[in-house]
Amino acid sequence: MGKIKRIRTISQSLSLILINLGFLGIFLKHLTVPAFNCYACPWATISCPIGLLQNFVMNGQVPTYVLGTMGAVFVFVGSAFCGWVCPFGFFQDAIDFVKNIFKRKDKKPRKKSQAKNNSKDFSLISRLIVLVATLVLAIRYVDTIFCKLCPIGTIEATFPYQIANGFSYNIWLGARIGILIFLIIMFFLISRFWCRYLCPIGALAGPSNKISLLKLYHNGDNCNGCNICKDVCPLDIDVVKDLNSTRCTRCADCVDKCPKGHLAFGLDIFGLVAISPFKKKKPKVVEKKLVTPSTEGIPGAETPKDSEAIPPEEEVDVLDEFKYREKGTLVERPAYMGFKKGERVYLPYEEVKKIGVRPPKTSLSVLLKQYSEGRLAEDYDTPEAFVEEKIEEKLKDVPKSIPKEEVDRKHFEKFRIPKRTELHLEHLKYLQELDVPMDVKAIANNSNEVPAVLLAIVDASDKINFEYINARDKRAEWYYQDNLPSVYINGKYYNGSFSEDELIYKIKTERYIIENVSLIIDYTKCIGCNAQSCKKSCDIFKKIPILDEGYGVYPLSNIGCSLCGKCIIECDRGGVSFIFGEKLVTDPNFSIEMIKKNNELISTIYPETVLLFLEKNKKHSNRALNFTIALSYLSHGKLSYQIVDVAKNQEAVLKRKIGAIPCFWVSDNVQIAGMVSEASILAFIRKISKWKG
Amino acid sequence: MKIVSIIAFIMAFVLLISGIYGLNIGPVSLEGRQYQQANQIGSYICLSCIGLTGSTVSHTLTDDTINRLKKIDYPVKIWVFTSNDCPTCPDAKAIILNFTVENPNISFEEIKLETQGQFFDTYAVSELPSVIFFNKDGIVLRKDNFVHKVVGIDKLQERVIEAIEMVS
Repeated sequence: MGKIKRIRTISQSLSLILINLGFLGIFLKHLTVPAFNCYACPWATISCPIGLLQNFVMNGQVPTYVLGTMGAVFVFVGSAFCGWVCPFGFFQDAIDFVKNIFKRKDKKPRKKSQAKNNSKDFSLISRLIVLVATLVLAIRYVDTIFCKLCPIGTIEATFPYQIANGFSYNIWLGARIGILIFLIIMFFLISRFWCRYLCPIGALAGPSNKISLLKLYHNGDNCNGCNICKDVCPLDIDVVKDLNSTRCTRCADCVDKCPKGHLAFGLDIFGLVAISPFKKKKPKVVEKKLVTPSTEGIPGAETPKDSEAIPPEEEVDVLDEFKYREKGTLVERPAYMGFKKGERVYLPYEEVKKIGVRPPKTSLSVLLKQYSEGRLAEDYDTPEAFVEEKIEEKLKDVPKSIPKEEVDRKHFEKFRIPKRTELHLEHLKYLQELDVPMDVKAIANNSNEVPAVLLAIVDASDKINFEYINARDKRAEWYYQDNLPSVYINGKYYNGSFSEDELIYKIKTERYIIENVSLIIDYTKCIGCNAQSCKKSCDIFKKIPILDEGYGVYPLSNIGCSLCGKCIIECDRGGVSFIFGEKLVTDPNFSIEMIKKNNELISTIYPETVLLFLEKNKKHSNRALNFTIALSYLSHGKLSYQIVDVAKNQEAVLKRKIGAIPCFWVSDNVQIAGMVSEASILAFIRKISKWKG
Repeated sequence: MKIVSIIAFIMAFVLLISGIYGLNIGPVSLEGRQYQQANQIGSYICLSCIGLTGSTVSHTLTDDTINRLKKIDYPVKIWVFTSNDCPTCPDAKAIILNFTVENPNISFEEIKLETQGQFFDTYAVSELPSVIFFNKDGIVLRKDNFVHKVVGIDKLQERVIEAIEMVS
């Protein structure tokens, strides 16, 4: 059930109660609304417009009050009361709901007879006939004939009356129960049968759709006729062709189900001012097109290598060092990063001195000398340690409205001890030239515990996005905490030592993954997807347009993805996958359902690093990669992996004596090679997990 | 379409305001403005009009009813709630009249919606025809703390005679 449909059901239930507040002793029978609710119901609060119409006409009066009330509603919202208020409409919707439950069990595809669609629409005429017949009979026999047969009266008035006063039979009773049974059968065959062909209120409400202020709008730019709107419409209206149909009950099911949001309600004030919901959205469509890949998905087609697919990012703030380098004060490294009131500053030595920020211990000449000699690493003295209690006290002052992440970030920036390590010049160069985004998270008991070398690496590059998470925080629960501080690089637990070389190596391997792996979206699986769990779980997916057919190929470095693997788990339809290499190699039988089912087992494994030996552009390599990504996410990042391209690293393969590709390699004893299936990969997980079952 | 919608807009409000103001075009059978008339129509439901009760019934009392009626030796007052445009109210009135003819202990009064509407509210009568009963002290007959009403004309004789027996 979609969001709008849920709101509509709530609205219908609420109005059913509001219209029948008689059990509280509230009766407002002066009022009437264009909704079917028998006023003879013992609890009915308001009057039935058709009943009143007949009574007025019967007495020979012009029913200006009833017609005026109905007209006033109709000119504003058209027939919206039919879909959102009317209790009899609610009854029919309930029958539809029951019908759908049985249909789902049968799993029969809903077939629509062409004859029905092609036949001339006589629904409005039949409704008008009912209305005119009602009034003519009332005048002719001076009696409310319609009320004697009315089906909602049978439900709301006859049954309570019969229960309260004992069963008594008369000819009208038989007729009206017969009509109700007939209608219920028809409701099972044709949804909203009453609203479609018989409702006398609908005879007035239907035409008002054409002139009312509330109108349905369709943005036809990208619509390519999936006809989902037509399929979901309970009244079988061809929505796109006939937006303001006389049959429409304004139930908004089509708006709810349109996969692209091309239908919406707007205001049309006498045709003079049209407030269409789509006018504002148009520039967004243009923006989206930039992200669209230039080749739209023929399987096997080569992915575009050009970076045109992604709009060029804004000029990133160049590190201040670079500016100074231009001026001639050579600073190849952020050695002059100082701290001024907790904020990092990048300044040349002389200026640092002026401000009075603690300058580096060694002067530039000494550093240059060290550089020429080949030893550049140098630690600052650690200042006096912070007392954790003070920090806690200060944290309490932070207003509660600020989100927890922000508090953590501020805390970290504020109390981070400027304990610094100089990195090797080669590494600094590498980090400054780093062009793929990295996501580094450190989980620690306090900011002191975060390794200094990690901070130095983080500071050296703009592309590295660092986040400190306090271990006592709720957000830290997801992460592995047995061995604090834990460091997560791109959502994968870092299982090595905190040495400069190893961390840089890890970043290099992550960079290799991001530069060589692409995200694949199978758009055929997106059609009619209501959940849109990809967009809910990941911000990157919000930028990506969802098309109707073909495949979308997005190199990770272009879209700024750090390959955490959440999307592959969240997508229920198997529309998201990843490929290693340039070619779009699709895998129709790919499924990770079994892996998802075993997520509890997978989450218990110990941290482990897997070497993935893969070939580019191969189906089984891609499958192995996808399994690993899924496992890595389900294991809370504890299973971290590193991709080795077999073609380029012959030595690595020979050294480990690997027989078949793809291969998961943990150690000589723990490895699986060759074609992979979900079963084999789960067996592999059992080998490295706590679970021995 | 522009003109049509503007005309519809104006017409709807002209009708609504004229209805509320009480512009009655044609004969007036109920009192008041149209929204007050709507209140009367909606509040006091003529049961036969909406087919909840039979429209034809025999006025003559059955032997069983007459036998039971003869045993009544205490005064019972009956109120019959009626309205002008209720087709079955005369039938109900006629049957109750027959009761009074058979046994002089029983007396009845007709309460008309058009003239004595306040009694409808006092005894919470919203269906027509309705019959309620009083004993000699003028205390209304109650059943489970609610005013005991005989509603509609289906099996009216049986239900009325039962109620009369309960008054004692």
